[in-house]
Amino acid sequence: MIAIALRSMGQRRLRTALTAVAILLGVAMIAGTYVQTDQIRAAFDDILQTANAGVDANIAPRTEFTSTFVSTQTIDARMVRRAARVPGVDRAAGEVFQMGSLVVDGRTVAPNFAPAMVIGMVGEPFNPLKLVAGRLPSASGEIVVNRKLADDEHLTVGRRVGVTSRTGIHPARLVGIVDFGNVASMGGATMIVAPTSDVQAWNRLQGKVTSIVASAAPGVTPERMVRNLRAALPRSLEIKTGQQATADASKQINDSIGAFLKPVLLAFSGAALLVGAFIIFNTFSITVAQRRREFALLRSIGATRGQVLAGVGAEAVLLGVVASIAGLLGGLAFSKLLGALFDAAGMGIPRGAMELAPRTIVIGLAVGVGVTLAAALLPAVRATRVPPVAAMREEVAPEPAGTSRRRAAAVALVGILGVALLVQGLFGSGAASGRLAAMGAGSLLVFVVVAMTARHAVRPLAALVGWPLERLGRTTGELARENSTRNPARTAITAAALMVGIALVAFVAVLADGMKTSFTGAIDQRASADLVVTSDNGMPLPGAARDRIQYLPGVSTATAQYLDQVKVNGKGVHALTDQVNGVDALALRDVYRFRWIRGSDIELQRLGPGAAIVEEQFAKQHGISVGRRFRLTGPTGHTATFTAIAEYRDPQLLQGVMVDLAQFRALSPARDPMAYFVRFLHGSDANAGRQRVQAALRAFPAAKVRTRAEYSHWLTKQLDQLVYLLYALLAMSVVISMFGIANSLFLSIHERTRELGMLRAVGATAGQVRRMVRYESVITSLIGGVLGIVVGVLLAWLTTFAVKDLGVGFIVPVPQLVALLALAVVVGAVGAIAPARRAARLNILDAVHSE
Amino acid sequence: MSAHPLTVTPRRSDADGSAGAAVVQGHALTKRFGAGTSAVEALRGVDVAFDRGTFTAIMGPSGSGKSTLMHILAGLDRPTGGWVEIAGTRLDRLNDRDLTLLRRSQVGFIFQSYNLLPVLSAEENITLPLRIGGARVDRAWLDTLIAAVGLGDRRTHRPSELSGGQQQRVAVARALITRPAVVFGDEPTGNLDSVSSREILELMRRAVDDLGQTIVMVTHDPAAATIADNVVFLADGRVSGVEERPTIDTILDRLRVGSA
Repeated sequence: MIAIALRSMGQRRLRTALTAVAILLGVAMIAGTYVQTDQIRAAFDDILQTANAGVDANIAPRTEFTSTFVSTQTIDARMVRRAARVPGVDRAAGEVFQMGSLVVDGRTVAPNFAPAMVIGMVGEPFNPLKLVAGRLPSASGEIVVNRKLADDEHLTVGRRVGVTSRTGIHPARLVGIVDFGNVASMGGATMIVAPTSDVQAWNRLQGKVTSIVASAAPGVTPERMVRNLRAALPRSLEIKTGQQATADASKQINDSIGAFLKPVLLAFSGAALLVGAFIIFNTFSITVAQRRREFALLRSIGATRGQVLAGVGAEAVLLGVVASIAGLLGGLAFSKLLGALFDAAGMGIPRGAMELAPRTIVIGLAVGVGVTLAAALLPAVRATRVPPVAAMREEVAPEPAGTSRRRAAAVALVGILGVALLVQGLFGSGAASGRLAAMGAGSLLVFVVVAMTARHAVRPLAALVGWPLERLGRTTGELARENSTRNPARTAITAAALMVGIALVAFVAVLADGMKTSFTGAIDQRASADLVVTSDNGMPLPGAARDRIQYLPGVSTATAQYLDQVKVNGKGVHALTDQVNGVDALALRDVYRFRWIRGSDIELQRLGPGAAIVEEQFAKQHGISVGRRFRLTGPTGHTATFTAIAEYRDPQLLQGVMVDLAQFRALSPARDPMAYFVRFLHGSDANAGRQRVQAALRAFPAAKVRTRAEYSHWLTKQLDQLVYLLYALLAMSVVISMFGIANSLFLSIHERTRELGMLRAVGATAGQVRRMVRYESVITSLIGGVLGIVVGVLLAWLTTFAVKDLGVGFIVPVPQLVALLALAVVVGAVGAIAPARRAARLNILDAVHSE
Repeated sequence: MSAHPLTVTPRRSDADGSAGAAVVQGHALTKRFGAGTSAVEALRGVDVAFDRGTFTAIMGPSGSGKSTLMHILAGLDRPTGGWVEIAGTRLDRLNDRDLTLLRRSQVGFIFQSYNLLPVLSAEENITLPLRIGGARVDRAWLDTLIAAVGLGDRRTHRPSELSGGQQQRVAVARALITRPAVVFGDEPTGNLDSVSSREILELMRRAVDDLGQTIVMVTHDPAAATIADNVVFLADGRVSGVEERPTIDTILDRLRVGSA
């Protein structure tokens, strides 16, 4: 049986190849995801290991949790000497780590998302730097930079540059170019190393360090030294061995990759695999139907049902294995593609060498073969149902539809389960990850149900989308439409494959539009600031900046928003709601319009010690109503109790809970705000005012000054960038479905060889036959496009309905959806190129006589 | 019925190719399949002409080249040597597209296996050649044909709802709808029972007698061939004889001689 399977695949090389591609690309995405995330992790491990080389103990401020907002916690520099005197310690050094960019010819070199670091020079044995050119900094005003930064900016030793800091730009001279140990890639990160005293002075950190490293004396194990250090130093410091520090940091990076990047990429791979599964199901269904007589013959000469099943199964396994192996190799290419995609989006993520880890190989093979086998199961079972007598009959019986009542029950069951999962994901309580998984599984089942029931919609849809083609192509168009409805089940599955990709694109498009409108609407309605000052990369702005703009002529109010994450009543941090805003309440009133649920602007005057204003979502999340008391804990473990004095609604701009600046400082180590809001005096020249603010902030190039409209536009563009990234990932699903369309056209043409020959004989030109195939393809892809848009918009509607509290509106972006239909036409037309050519090239004589 | 003078005369020159009553003629046709030592000579110099309004059967043993000859005459295949002329047009001077257009307007086909489009109704199948060409359907002519082939009550039926004989009647009407210069039949009764065969052959006969249609039919069934005005016998790629007003006996004699 296996020999027969092999031979029959060999005979249908093209079909086998096209089917293999369907699964290959899905496996490539899965494998590529693992390869890419492995690369990223390897690069970070590399960096961490280098940073901790020679470090036997690492001493850092103890934290309650790690905030996503960058906030520097510091240690008194006198601790360094205290640590050095602890028994077993050979040497100890204070490290200073800050954010800061290089300024070259007045231009700031700022990576988009990757960090721009300024690091204080440390002595041996802790120094991780390897000189490439020049020397290490030894005097104030001297710096070295990493090699990539120097190369990118064409810097040579001796060059005069600047370094940005919390106090402005400081002049410096480049005395050397370095590598960070043997680290191959730091991604887009830039690194400046200066004497520690300079970094401290530039950032108002005199007498402070951000961490302490120590090496053990000969004969002392790191563990023993750490025990000694713990005994000698205050409890507020967390002391680990160098190894432990590296492992912890590595785990943290791994967790953050695992929390977002990997699941998102795997979800897209899953969509691609679903598309592949549809195509495999279709191909096997069609070939099983075409080979009815072959199976009947096998049965009539004594093959058992089991043997027929095994034969088809063997074909599926073989196909799965070959495609998965190719997919694993494709994964390397996909990882490269992903890297290029991330780079293009401006995320300079460090990346190590490519490697197919054993785990990647196992998962890729298991998923690839599993999906292929699962998709081929039903057709294989159908093959066993062919009665031996069919070998003697002339006609090729149509694909049996299965007992329709059982089928209907199955569809209903899957449908109910899918909707239940969707509802559970959308409206249920529980962890976000679990709900997202439920939504994903629910959507998958919905796709399957639509694919299974779409056969009933094929005829009317074909009439709808085929109408313009019939006008255009007359008989050719009419024949194409008839052909596309000849086997509705087949057309439905082929279209469903495209539907998945289109639906997800439509889903993203609708949600993105809703979010954009929600943000721009919120800015229009809530913000009354004339200028918004933020950084482009979510980093805090220097606190010193406010002094420079507050007293400018024309400025009526300049106020800051401080931000950090908090634990509420000791519970884990909820990413969406659990953040505390530190504000000057009265000044805030000038730049922001509250939409009160309980309370009014009067309450702003009472925002002092022990008082907090809560946002609706925060209040809901924690069951806090006005008048209730609750406890907030900052990242350093500082805790304070507050009473909610008012409640407002703004899920877009100012989420979480609001306290006054003094209370904020008690909770959070963040000394720098996330944003400044500026309001001009009534009647003053806004343009001149803006220029004055910009000029005043010249020393802080990270601070971007935008009008309200510009800020709104900028936010929209940021979101667009993310949306394009998602589209790029979804493109794979669409490409796979294109192969599916080509494949099923090839199979149909094969079946209709004689008809095509007849058409040519009675006077259809090659061009007409080509056009007919192309139209049929476009009709199929348009059905997929229409189904996809309907399903995608419905899913998006459900989602906006579920998150309407967050203010995301439901807006149908008509131009994008029309563009999606155009995309479907292109997919159909491209998918038809090769099949149409084959159909037109058929030898009329062979075709007319073919069996 | 017997008033039709029939000539199936080998022609010596192409000078008068279009002058006579011949609607289709093949001149010095040769056809070689394959190359080198495995090459097969299917036709070794065949000259034939078919006059307007005649019904000709082509017969011969398997491998005699009768199907090849028909394919070449119909413009479905090109000869290795020689040329074909249909209604005054030399096929060897046409490119593929023009050849297609000529087939569309001047040639009708009746295949052994009906070859109808399953997605179209009987009437739509009949008018298919016109619609492919974007031509208007002459309703009166269509009605005449449908009545002639006896499918008046089957117009909207799909092929799967028709018997084999009915399907072949649709195919006959389809071949006639364009009023082609010539209709070729490739074993048109090969798949039919004897009653249906008879019906189809009589239909073709009436097309010749009543409509003045020219028909050339390949068959291996001597009974079918008797309905033709004359029979061309092929053997080993050459015309081995011509029989006018054939009877079963004369045909069987010829075939016996041919295979001897």
